[in-house]
Amino acid sequence: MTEQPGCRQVRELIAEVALGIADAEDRDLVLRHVLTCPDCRAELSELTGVVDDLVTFTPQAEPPTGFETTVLSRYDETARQAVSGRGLTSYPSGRPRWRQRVALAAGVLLVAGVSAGAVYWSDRDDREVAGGLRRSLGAAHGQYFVAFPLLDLAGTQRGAVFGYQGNPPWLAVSTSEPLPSGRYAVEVVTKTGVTRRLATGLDLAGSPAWGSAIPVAVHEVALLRILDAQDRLVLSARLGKR
Amino acid sequence: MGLSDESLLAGLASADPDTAAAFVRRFQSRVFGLAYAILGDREAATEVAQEAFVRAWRHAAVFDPRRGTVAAWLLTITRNLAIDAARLRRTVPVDPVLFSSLQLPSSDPAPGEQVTTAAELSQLRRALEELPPAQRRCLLLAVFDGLSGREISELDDIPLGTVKTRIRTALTTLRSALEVRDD
Repeated sequence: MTEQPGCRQVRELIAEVALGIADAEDRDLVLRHVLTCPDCRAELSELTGVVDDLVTFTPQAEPPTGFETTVLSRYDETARQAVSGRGLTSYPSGRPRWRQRVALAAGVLLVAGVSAGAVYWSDRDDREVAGGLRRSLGAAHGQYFVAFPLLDLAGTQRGAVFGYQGNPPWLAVSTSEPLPSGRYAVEVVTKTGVTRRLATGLDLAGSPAWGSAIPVAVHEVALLRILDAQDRLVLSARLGKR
Repeated sequence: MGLSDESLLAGLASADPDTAAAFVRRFQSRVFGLAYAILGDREAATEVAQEAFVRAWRHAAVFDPRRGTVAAWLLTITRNLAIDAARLRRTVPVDPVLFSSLQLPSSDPAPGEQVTTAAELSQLRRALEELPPAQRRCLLLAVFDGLSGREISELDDIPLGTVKTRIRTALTTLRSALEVRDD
């Protein structure tokens, strides 16, 4: 084991982080440390595994009659909402935050020198918006532009993923609020099951947007994941049908 | 033999209704049991358990079997929801003595539960029972009530540093017990 500066302090806090009861400051300290310390990272992973196993010890109990039926109908209801909530055109109009995020996402890509069309929509009518989108696609030899909700583990929307199928194709991520301080990774899973990590060490606390050209077509991507320093899923987006 | 947990979860992710029903049937008593153990209220536990299944469905596609079993993953979702609900309700923490009846799942391990074996869980349970009562209490208050060190300190009127030490020692002792078996 190779002791790094700060290991001793972190080791005293790891159990509480594994249990999910550490305060934000301690959790931040530990998560930053394990980014660069494989020994402490392994310690955290092992203790988290013990907690997961402890949770399985609870006694079983029969839920009330109709429980299964209720859950299955909630699946149906949630699926319908998800279908109606996907895609660029399905966002309710008049949501300034999303308009800002689209502009921000486009800005990220322009700064990155990616040949992509900036998409911006305001309160103009649909025809003007559609025309603007067509011109943007044409300017960057694009085929389509899509957007999908970015969800946290609770299923709450925390941002959006924007995809532009051009040359090159790109993805941009924006979050409605900055994430907790720490470093994050972004990866995609293709429809063939291949995982490709697009970026690591991102500071999504300081900058709530990120974008990059991607090595596959946008329509070949099934999932986008944002992972924290422990490689735990923080946010995800399912990139379904356009 | 039925489908493995991972197969059921994959079916859930693909929105297959039969698989979804089988998934709920397989885990509902454990999910509800955990929520009820934490909340002590059947109505609240029912809501939490239903929400846990909905969230599992939403995130089924990103489950990573290398990180643990489906059961542990689903129960962790349930635990987090139940603790959040308990905090909102400001209920009195469940006395950890109630958890002295902690039990292994009564059924045989489900197909596909390979990350932690039944033997390892049995070893873990024995190690838990052998912990000094004060350590066990602090650990169980943290695991099943989600109480922070400070909250446990105030609840039991003991110094915060003592609570932190008890929690840390208890958890590392359990980890060591599993490692001994692995050796």
